Amino acid sequence: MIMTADQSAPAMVTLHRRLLAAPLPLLQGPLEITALAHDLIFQFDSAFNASLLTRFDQLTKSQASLAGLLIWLLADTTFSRVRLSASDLAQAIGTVSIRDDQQIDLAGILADEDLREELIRLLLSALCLCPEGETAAQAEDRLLMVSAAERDRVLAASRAAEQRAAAIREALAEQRAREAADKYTRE
Amino acid sequence: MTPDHWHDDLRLPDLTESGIARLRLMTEHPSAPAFSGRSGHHLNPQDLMQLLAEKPLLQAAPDTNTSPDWLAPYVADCLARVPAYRRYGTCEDFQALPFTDRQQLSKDIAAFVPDDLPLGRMIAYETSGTTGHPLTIPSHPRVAARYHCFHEQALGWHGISLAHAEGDIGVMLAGDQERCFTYVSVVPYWQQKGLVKLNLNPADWPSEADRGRYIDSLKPILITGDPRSLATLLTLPFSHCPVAILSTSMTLLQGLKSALEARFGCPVINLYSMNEAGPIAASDGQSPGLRLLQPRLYVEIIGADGRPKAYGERGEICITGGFNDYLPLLRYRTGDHASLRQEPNGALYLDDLDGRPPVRYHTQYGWLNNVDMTHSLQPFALAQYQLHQQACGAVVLRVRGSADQQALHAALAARFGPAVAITVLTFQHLGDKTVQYTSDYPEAMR
Repeated sequence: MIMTADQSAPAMVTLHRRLLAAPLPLLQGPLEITALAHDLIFQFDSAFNASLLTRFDQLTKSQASLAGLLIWLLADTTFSRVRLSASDLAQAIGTVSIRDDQQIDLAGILADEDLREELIRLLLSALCLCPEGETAAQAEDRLLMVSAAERDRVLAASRAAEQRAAAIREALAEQRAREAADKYTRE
Repeated sequence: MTPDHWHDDLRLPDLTESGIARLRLMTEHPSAPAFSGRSGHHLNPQDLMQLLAEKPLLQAAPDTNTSPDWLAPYVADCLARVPAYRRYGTCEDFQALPFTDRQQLSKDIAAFVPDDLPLGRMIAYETSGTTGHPLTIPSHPRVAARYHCFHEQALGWHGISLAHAEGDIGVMLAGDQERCFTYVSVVPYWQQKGLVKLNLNPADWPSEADRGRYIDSLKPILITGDPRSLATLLTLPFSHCPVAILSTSMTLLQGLKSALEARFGCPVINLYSMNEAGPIAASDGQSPGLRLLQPRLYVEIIGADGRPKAYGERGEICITGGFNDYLPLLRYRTGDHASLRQEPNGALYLDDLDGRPPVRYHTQYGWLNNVDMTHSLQPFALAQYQLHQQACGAVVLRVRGSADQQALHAALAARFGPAVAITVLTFQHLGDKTVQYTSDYPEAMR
């Protein structure tokens, strides 16, 4: 994910505080997650297409709990100065996760500063935002430091890029041994 | 050879009977040269339909705005899909984007191929260049076929319509080298007309006289070549006149151009084309300089400080865009130098185009650059030359083939002054990729 510096998210300290202030009912669930998502997205784009919300009907209970926490984070008034598209918001809220295969323990996340940091940074990265006071490169570095999931993703992307480059080199080497297609001028 | 010999689904899919007849004519003619290889267009019916559909777009007039509409989305696409460009992050300001050059392509060409392109039909062109960075250019048969659209466009500027040109053989690509890859083929998007790539070196022919006989029998509509091979054509006795001659690869001096025009009575079109980007500009017969051809190729002229130059100012040609899906270019420094000029009708021209970095020469009267030298040599019909200034200031002009050494000496002496030692040498062969202007004189490469 490429982060941009043209607009900043709130500072990390603000977002940590926001997470720590999450209300108890949010952590205990169950939540009307589609309704919460609607209200949040509406604040950023009142003309958004309601079909974006269908993805929230399919979340597991655990995923819905995490989405609720993300909505709480994004509802902080400091985000009101940030321009975000409805589709980016729906995508981020519906997909950001710090643990793919395990039950998400919201209380555990909130109690652990590193996990809070990871969650915040994953969300901002998904929205192509940098925390206030950080460059895109710094934000990417810090995300890599705190997030095992991000490290795995970068590693997998790097491995895929290597495989692709190797395939191209191999195909070109094979083609070099043959003639190319006709061209009727020299260059 | 039997007709079956020519059926080749990979190289020449959907070969017609008339195509086979033309292949046979080109290879079985009693004066035909020996051909060293086989080649083909590799185009299937879907490719041909696509070529037909995109032709109007390829032949549209270039958008001459300083920031054409297509540029920002193109850059964003490159940054998203091309590994080498992805590391740039985002683009807020086009002129803040880093340059790319031949060395970078040579080092890791795979990083310039977009992520999502299939590799199954990718082809490769190899180029040695003059910079010491051999390069393999990834491409596709459809990309190679698009050249035709640009050649058609350049010919159209001279009032020539290829679609209506009569003849069985469309193109004769003439080389004049010790050895080169030669073949026959057909052009499926031009009524399966024949295409012959041949070497004028007498070693390839039954006899020297067969060269002219073969050309007169085939009557190619177009003849293409570099100034060396075109100069050799002038020495051959044959009567056929093509509808046009395309000159590529090296500087075409006015003297040689005039000699070709006088002999063949047809337009001689100087084409600036490179493997990395295809045909970039061509002479249009109306204005001096070479007119930009591609509608989606953004040309900047860059100074030594990396800043864009204004119209009329000389610098390195830097290109963005192009038509090779397998090698999208972003601020690619070509190593060639020119200035850009806009005519009142909007058309853009490259003036005083010269390959390779500028060299200045120390004369009795002060410094002169290589463009001045080209102007001095324009009247001569030189096929190939190299001008070198030694560290002591002496000047050596090496010329391929016969030339009026006395007149050349006088032309250079007028520029350098009588105190500078000048030697003019003629050679039967210069290297294939000879650098035209070189110097060992102190501060010549400033």
